[in-house]
Amino acid sequence: MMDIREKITAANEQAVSRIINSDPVWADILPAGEVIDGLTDRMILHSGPPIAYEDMCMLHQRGMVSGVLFEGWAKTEAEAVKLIRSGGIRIESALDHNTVGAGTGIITKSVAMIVVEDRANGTRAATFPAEGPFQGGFCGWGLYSPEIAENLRHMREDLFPVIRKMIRNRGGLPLKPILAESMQMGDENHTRQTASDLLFLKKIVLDILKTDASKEELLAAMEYIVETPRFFHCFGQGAARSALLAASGIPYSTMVTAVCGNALEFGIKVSGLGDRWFTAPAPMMKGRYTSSRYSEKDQLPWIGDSCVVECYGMGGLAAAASPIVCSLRGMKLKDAIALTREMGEICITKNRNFPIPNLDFDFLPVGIDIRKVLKTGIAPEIHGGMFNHEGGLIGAGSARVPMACFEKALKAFAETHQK
Amino acid sequence: MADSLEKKTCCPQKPRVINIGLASFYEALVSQKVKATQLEWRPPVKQSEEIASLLDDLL
Repeated sequence: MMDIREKITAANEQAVSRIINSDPVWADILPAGEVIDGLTDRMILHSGPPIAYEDMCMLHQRGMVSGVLFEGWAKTEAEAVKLIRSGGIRIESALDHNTVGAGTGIITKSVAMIVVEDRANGTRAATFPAEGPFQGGFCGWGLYSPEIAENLRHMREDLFPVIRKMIRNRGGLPLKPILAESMQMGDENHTRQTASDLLFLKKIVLDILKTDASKEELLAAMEYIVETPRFFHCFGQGAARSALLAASGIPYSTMVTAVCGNALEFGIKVSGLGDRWFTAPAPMMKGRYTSSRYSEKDQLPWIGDSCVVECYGMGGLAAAASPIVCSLRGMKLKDAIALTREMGEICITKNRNFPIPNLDFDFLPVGIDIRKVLKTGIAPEIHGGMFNHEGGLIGAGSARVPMACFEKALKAFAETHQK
Repeated sequence: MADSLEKKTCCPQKPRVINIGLASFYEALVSQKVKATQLEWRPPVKQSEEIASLLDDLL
């Protein structure tokens, strides 16, 4: 008969092994309504823990209106707001489904999504692709305009048929080798994807050329991939999300499976506590602004689900892999190494898939344990982009997950598991 | 004048320093060729009695 500590240890080993042994593969591009479980008609997903429309920041409210207009559920902004306020639209958190919402995370049934299958664990996650010249655009920044509508159509009808044919012909693209190699080349795969973008391109370029698309179609598809900054970011999030879905819902596990914000509240999920949220006020980021005219008063508190990559053992946990990202905050290489070592104190184990040159090929830590966070007083470091209140990207930096999230989660864990 | 200054200094000989906490103090000393040792230390974590009790049971 195991005591509760032994049960937790066994459950955490099981949960973290789902991450370490995951085999995320980009398999397809499909409409959100076909790949996201429970995403029904007249439903809009958003980033962060659940929140009512009236409590949302302007970015999320604007995203809700954009979603209604994009799907044609209303013809004008005023009609869209009226429809939302009348309860005619179901609003849910993206992380309560098998998807992930970077930035505002606006997802409706017709959005084309990158499909990532974890072929070791049998799970499937969807993430929205970057929108070319509009970058965050509709899904990430909640924007909608005739130009964005036309770009979404262009992606759906002109670009994705070629890219979809390529990925289906090659039988999918394994993502973990790209993540692993890129983190030996200066990426931490949250704020920086410079290496993973190049590695990704190298893997697919011949396969795209082998499709029977016309020269114009090939050029358009390649231009979209090459010219979109941080193109690989959505693939990294999809890889992480698919593995974390497999690591969720393991009784007695104290491992964190989701970390996100909605600009008002910040929330975490814990494997052994299923889909329950544990929230605290959303933190502000510290880092470097893109212009000296910006300061903290311009910055929106944390918004977005992209910390799914930290839950997978990248981003802030992989600081040592990317001193370049850490230098945005004035850190030196030794500070970045010390930060990853610090993160190791709150993690269950190390991921043997991710040896890092700056750590003398030691492995990155993985699997944030709520007990260790509270015992050490060390909150997880999370990387990300800074938004202003109007939705512009004004910088990059980091924050720490609020300790109150872990306190609430531990109390709930004890109530659930100590009976 | 030089003698009186020397008498007032707190470190009449070459200091040997153990630095606790901020590593930049240690680095500043080393850069000035002062013998120094950095001691890794953090203040004890403050927890509520409830959290401390739960951690005793669960960790």
